Amino acid sequence: MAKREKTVAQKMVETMDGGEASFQEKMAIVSLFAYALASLFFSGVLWQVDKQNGSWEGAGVLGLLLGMAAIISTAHIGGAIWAAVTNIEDAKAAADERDWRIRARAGHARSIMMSGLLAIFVGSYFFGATAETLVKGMLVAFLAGGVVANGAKVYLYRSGL
Amino acid sequence: MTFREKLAWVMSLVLILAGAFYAWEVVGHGRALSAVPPPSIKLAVVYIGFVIIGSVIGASSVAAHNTEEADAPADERERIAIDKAGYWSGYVLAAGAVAGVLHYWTHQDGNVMFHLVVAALMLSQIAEYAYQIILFRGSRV
Repeated sequence: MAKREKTVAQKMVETMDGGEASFQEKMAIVSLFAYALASLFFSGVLWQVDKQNGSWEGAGVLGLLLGMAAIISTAHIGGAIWAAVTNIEDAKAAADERDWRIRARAGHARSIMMSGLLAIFVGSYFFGATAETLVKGMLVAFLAGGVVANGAKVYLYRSGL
Repeated sequence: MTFREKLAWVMSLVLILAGAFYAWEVVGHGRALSAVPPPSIKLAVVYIGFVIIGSVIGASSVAAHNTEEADAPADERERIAIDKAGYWSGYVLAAGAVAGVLHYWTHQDGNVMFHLVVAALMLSQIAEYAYQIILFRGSRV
C-alpha cells in the first residue's frame, strides 16, 4: 500500500508534541547556528583589530567579508547534507503551506530588525560617525537579521502557527 | 476595499511623496555643489516630520471612515499578506545596502553609501506597502 503523505496539520501537531524536526526546521537550526558563528567571528575580528591598530581598512575588510561568507556557506552546506541525510523524504518534498507561512513571518521579523538597526547607524552618520562605522553597522544588521529570522523560524516551528 | 488596503494606499502615497521630496532636494543640492552632497540633518528632520504627520492624518482619516474594521485585529489572510510583504521588502533593503557597501568598497565615498542606504530604507517601505496592495487585490495569499 502506498504511504500516505502527512497533512500540514499533522506535521504541526507532531512538532508541537516534541516530534522529530522536519527538514525545513533542521535547516532553520543550521542557519541560526551559522549566523551565530559568523557573529562570533565578526566580533572577534573587530576586537582584535581594535586592540592592534584601530583600523580595518584595505585587505582587512575583504578578509572579514570572505571569512563571514565562508563560515555561513560552509555551515549551510554541511547542515543541508545532515538535514537531508537524516530526513530524506522531507528533503525531496517542496516546502508546504506552513513552511511558507513561517518563512514569511520570520522574514518580516528580519526586515524589521534590519531596518531598525540600519536606521540607527544611518542616524549616527549625521552625528559624526565615519563611513567605516556605517559599514560595520550594516554587517551587524545583516547578522542580527539572520539570527532573528532563523531564531523566529525555530520558535514558530515548535509553536502552533 | 478593506481598512488595511486603504491604509496601505495612504502609506504608499505618503512615503512616495516624502521620498520624492527628499530625492529632489538631494539631487538639487548635488547639482549646486557639482558633487555628491553630504547628509543634511535638516532635510532628514523635514522628511521624518512629513512622514509622521502624513501617516497620522492619513491613518486617522481612514480609521474614521472604517471605525469597526480599524478596531479589529488583522484577519488570517491579511496577516499572511502583511508578513509576505514584509519578507520581500527585506530583499529591497538588502539590495540597496549591498550596493552601498560595494560602492564604498570601490570608490571610498561614504556620502554615496549613506544616500544609497537611505534610499534603500525608503524604497523597502514603499515596496512593502505596494506588495501588500498587490496581495490584498490578488488571490496569491
